[in-house]
Amino acid sequence: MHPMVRGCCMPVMPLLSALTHRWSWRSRTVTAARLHQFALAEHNTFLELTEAAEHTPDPKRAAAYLRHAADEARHTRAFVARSRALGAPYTAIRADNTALFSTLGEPTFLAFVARGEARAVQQFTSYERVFSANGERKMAQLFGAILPDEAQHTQYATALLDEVNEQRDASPWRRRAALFEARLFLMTAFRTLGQVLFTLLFLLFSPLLFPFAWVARRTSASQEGR
Amino acid sequence: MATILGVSGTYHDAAAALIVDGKIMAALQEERLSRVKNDPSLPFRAIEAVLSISGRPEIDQLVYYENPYAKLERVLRHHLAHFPRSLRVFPRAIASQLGGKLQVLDTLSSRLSLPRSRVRFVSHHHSHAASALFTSPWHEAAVLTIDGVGESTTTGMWDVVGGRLRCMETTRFPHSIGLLYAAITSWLGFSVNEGEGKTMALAAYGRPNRREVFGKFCRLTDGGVSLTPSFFDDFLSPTHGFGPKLEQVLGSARPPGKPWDLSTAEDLAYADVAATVQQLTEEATLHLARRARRMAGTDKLCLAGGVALNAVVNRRLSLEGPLYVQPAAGDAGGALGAALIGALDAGDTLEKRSLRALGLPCRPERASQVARELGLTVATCDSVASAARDLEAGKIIAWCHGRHEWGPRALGQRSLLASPLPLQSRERLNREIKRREPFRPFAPAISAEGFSTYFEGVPDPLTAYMTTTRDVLRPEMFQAITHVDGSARVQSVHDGPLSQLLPHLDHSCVLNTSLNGPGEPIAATDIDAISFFLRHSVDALYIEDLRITR
Repeated sequence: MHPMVRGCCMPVMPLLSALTHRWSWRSRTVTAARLHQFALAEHNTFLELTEAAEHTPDPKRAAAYLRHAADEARHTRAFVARSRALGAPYTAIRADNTALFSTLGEPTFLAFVARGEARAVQQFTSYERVFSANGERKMAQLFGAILPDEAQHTQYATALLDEVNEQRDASPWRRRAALFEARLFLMTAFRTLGQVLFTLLFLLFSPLLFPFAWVARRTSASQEGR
Repeated sequence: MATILGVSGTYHDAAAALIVDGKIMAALQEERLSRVKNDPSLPFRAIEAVLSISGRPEIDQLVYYENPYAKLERVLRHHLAHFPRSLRVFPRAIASQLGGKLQVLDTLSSRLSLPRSRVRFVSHHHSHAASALFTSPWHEAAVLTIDGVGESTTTGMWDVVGGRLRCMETTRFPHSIGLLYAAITSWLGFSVNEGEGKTMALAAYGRPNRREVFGKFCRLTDGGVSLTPSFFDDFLSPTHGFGPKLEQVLGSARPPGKPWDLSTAEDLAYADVAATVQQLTEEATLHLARRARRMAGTDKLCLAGGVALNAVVNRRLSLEGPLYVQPAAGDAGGALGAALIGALDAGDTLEKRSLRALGLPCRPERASQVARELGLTVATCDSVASAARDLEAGKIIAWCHGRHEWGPRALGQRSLLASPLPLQSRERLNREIKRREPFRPFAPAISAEGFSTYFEGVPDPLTAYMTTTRDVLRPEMFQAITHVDGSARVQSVHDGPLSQLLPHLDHSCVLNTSLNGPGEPIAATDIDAISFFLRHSVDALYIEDLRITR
């Protein structure tokens, strides 16, 4: 799922977090895997913001994106460290750079960032609360340390959106960002469904491959080189 | 007179290269712009960049670096031959091929609004061979291409007839020096296509005493190596490249990310395996090189393909005759090779030029504005004199000058520089910035004039691109850049930004490592450099004549 779409269908985050906490963080392995996913999400944001800094025409906004990117890099390291402390295997952090800035244009990009960071504030606040209530101090500290950054990111992105928009009504950009998120969510869902369907159909019809496999095995010895 | 765009991608090291009227205008790896290490996706950012650098000429032809249809055929045949065992990976492999790789030429055509008739492909190893020969100092030479696998070729031997490459002999999948080295790299806990240099560095700490065990799955042949596929999981694993049978004979694979301690017997045993595969690779490549030189009737040899990045192998080859290695010898170089083939086919005469700096230039004015907005201190200065003072004071500086490098080595355009003398340089760089394995050495850059005073031999095209190693004549003096075996992957500096700085330094020598943090591509633009500076404890950042500090 696109990292900034994560949680977009969870408007009642605090209640849901409390209810699902035991299941969502049910073991060290699951917790480590989830933290790794958070690390990937942060790293993706780092990449998108670095590219935004490259392409925005305004040096002040470029600086803001770079500051934000540096925060995301720090968050990535924090999630990775905690994930590995919980026994996650070493896996390189490889996130995608989907060139959001170029795709959306700067105003919509800023609206998208503001939405994503606001959602992160909501999500991490509820995690911190629930982990604290459950006595899981280190996990509570992890999310608690990141929260001020996410709040600041929401503020600056909103402020920059107003600036880019010359203080006019920014609702059209926010709507576009929301529509884009919804489209991303649907595309991701359809892609996942498509992959599952393809795999199932492949497995279902795979017995038909046996004759071809026999032919391939017969010829493979003569195809392999010296 | 034609404008030819060469493109590589979809597997690893996507890149774009542009040749106009026989002249190489620009070449970039996609990872430098997307900031995704070894980015495999089609390099539209790099394509935009090379066109922008070159004044946006109209593309006459796009040449893709391999045959996607032949690749699909090999993948399909291989998976079918191992069916039903391949069932665990077959769906994903086929989906990957059909989902994008097979349509790559159509995708490039439509995204770039190029008529499909202007988009074609050449073979993978032909791209590699062209990237080496047509950028070498020679018009004729033997050419050897060695990698993991292209469409189905793993090794190619070429000569030159009528100014064109002619393939004399090939070795086919799965018998591959590159795949053998990659499998052992993965077994050592390093990432494939990234960690091979680590295996090479680790080898110097071990002894090649596992030849008998290696003999169970690998033997040397005229074509390089012959591998027993069952030890490599029949090359079905998308991540490992080796199977349980290999672990039974070699021992358990080393867990990725586990800290190294080469004072322990356990890690020394891993070093012995690294040393063994390094020795095998050297012997196999040497044998191929001798055959190629003999068959082509010349002692000049050009080398390309991922295995050509093995600087220790290159050193051995260079002892037997003149050797040239194109700096982006891996798949990124395929983009340049494809463009060169296209240019030749269009009837252009190729103009040879330095490949040191083919990327994007710095933008000091923009860098200054952004740095000031970040609250950093920006001063205009004589960067050579100022940097020299910083280095003499033991500081670590980030250095951005001119157009960025082509290939995986930093050659003084996007570098981290430090004193090459004290061990503290290396320790601080590793501890605070690079966070690399402790056995990995840093490399020096030295002026061409001072080379022979401190390093074995004389400077040549190999040392100019840091594609070989040389013995350090005064290792006790250059502790920060001398490897455990007394060698260094030294860069001889003949021109460019570093050539102005080096005469101001003691011994005209500096520790030169790439401007990037762990797991990152090397910086391309000034924004990348500033981003790096914000996140790492470097003492100063130089962007042309700007000195930026906190």
